[in-house]
Amino acid sequence: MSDERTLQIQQISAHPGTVPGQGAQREVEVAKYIDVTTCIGCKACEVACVEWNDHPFRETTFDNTYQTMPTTEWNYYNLIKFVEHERDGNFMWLMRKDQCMHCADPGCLRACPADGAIVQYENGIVDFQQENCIGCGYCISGCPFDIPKFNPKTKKVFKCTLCSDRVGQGLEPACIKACPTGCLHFGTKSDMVALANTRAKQLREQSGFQNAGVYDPQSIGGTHVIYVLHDATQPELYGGLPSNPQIPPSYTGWKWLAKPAGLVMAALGLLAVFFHRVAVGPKLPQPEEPPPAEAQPDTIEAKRKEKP
Amino acid sequence: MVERITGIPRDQFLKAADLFTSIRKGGDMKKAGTIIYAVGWTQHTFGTQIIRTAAILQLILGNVGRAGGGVNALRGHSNIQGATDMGGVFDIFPGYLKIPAPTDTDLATFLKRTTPTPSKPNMWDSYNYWSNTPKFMVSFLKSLYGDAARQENDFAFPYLPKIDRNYSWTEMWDYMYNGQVKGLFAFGMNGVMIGPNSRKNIDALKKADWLVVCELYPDETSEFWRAPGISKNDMAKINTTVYRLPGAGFAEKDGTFVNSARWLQWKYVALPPPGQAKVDQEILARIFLKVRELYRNEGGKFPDPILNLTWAYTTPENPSFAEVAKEINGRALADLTEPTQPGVTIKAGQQLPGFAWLRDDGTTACGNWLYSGSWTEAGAQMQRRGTEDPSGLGVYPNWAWSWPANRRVMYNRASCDPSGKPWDYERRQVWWNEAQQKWVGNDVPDFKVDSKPQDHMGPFIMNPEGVGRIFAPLAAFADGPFPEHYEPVESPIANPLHPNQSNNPVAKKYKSDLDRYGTPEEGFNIVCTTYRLTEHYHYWTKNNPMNVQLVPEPFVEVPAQLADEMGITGGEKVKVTSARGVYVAKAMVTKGIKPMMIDGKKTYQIGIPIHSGYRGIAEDEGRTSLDPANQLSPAAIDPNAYTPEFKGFLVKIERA
Repeated sequence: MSDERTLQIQQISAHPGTVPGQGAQREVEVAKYIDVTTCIGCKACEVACVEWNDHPFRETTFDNTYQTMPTTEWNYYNLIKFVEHERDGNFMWLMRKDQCMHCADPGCLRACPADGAIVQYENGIVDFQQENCIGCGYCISGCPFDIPKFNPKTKKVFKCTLCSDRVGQGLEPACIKACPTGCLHFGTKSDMVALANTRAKQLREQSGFQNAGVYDPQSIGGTHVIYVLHDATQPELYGGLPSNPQIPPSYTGWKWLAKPAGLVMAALGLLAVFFHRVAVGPKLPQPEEPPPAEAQPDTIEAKRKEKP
Repeated sequence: MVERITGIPRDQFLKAADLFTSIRKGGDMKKAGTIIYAVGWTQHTFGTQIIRTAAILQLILGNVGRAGGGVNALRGHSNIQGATDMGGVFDIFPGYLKIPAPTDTDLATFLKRTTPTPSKPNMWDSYNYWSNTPKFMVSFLKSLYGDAARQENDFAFPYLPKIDRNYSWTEMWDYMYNGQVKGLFAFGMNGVMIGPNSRKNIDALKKADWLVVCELYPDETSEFWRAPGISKNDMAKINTTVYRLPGAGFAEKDGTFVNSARWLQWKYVALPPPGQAKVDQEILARIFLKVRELYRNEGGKFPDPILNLTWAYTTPENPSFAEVAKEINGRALADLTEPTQPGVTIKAGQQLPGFAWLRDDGTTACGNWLYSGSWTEAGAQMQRRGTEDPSGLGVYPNWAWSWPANRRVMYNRASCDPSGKPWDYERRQVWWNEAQQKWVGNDVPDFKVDSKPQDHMGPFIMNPEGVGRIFAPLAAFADGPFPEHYEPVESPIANPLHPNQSNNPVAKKYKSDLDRYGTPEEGFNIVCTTYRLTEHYHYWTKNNPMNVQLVPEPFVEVPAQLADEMGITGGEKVKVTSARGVYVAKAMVTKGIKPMMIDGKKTYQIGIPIHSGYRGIAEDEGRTSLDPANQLSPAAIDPNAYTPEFKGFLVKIERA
């Protein structure tokens, strides 16, 4: 994206008229759109994610479910949550691909105290820079979706990158490429929202899902991963998707209140130092201990010599 | 009655039936409806009749030959269609040519028996395309035996094997169990796991003299002696010699996959086989060349078919698939002209442009007439990757190559009314062009191209009658001309339609001591079905840590209601018993399988994924139950397709 913008033409020699494309609106924000209603739970996205990120395999255990493991892990960014659901007495699977939502207002980033450990690109991708991560884990508690995970061995936190390395090269994320049903889409945020709205309308009008809708929670400014749900009024059904995700107040407070307050305190501290200097004067060097008695005459002698 | 037999509530069934038939409401012919099935439909002792029923329904609704219509199988492997097209079944040759029987004493007798004569019901004329059988057959013989196939020796017809009995999968293992089959080549088939009644298959291998397995991993067949229940003592008594050949995986070979839509799609080698592994064709070629050498040096009862087989590959011990594909497409052996195409000459040695050029006089060679046109003088048509779709119907005529003749929808003449006008002009596929006096269209017309609509030729050109078969002719099916409902060999109820003949009277059951069939009276009161998971591919992905990570262990899916009644909790081990064997694995309690009311009786069904066995990552770590799921299933087969009944048999279940 940055390449595209820096190489945008500003002036053209001997060109009549305006520079083509000047003033055109350019979409930089990307989004992943997941149509939960056409997911078959094949887990191809899980495999693609592990393979693209070159993650080691984990040992899993059978837990009375098709779900691979209970939650995403530091080396397992992408997990389909399987929920058995009854609707009007009929069984249906709710299968939701769970991963980082790439919030417009990312709780992890707000919570992070380490300079440069979490960045948000202009395209909306929220990316962890592990070399700057101090392993404090604040991002974990800052996330309303329980996504960042701690690697106890390296003491760093990891999560889905939305394949920022692929997207930066004009490719779609690995999970999108692997999906065999086409329930995963990738494009500009506005295109994805439009596509999702069309699908939700179709579900409402033609498939009997009156509550179908798009999940793009505004409580955190929207997300760069959006869902179409059969029942958007109850996102919690889909493996605990929060209907109104919130960043913990301690972090929003930290940013809007605690941090300025801290700065004020620090400034006050500096002022105190300044006034102390003015009022009390500088701290003079003091001898560490009185010199031995026999050495004293020499010192006096020396001081005398210094005087003109 | 439907409700009594199937357990589908009456209103739900009617709703579905109304929806499907609503496309023809008020005589509207524009819409099309499709039936897409997974091969589970075939895995019954009456499987062919289920498919027949679907075909009849589609014929009656006018859904055959239409874009978006048809009866479409989702096949279980990437290349099952190709395997069948190329005669990977005991009773057909490539291109669905019939295999000779001992009574076919010469070519003329064989061709007379297998070439259908046209039959013209009422007003319909009949193309009877299979009347070309002699051209296809002689060209096939020429491709097999080249110069050794001459007019005076019946084009080497006597070289061909004559099939005197049923050699289908389940039969073969029965013959082995009974000591009649002494050896087995197992290529890409984990025989112990894949067939019904695994215990019998394992015991059959104990009785064999030798076994050759070509595989990527050691599997349950190549290590059948490690099956659970075989003690060290028993092991010592097994005298079967096992040869294991390291094969290559799909990504290590080029060649084609033929999908369910009949597209031949070329694929390229992604990486070379590791270590000493070899591609299939090299393994087969080396065995063949060795056998031929032995025949050449030592003679034999009938060495001619081996010594005279065409083997003109650049690298005889490792023929390239490109050469084989060209051989299958066929070539001219003499200069050819065609009255319908004046001015066109195919020179001797050139690739044939299609099966219309095939001859029965020995001037053409073709390995499979259906694939003729796939690798022409213009190159490998199956390697094409054109993404244009000029008609907007999803035809994509330049993507790969579809048999026959790159036609994408078969019987597409039926997409027009009798006068040759498309039923749906907006989605027109082919039509009669009065000015040109021929059939034209967005797809290749599947019809005699100059047959005027007024001539009333039937659209179903592969049937000698020219029309669709709602009522099938004599002997077309083993179990009768019209479908009938039968219960599975093991059923919780007697067939409500005719309790005295509950199941298919011509379904094959076996008589060995290990072929036992259970009844509800003996306590087998739960219906069991087997299936695959999306996370695993048959029996070999359990050697891949990624797939094992996704589904680490086998399980039995148990309906929540049944689990409640029996006090089974998810994750605890359950023991499933059929008349043939026992299967122990953890229970997955699910609301996904509900009890059914079958003939007034509350009936439970459980489901078992088929993947796990006694070789694989988790298995080798002792983490799974080691039992093949098919220890439970019965050897009972459909009398037409010989498919075993994996999709419905009886078991009992208890906490283990």
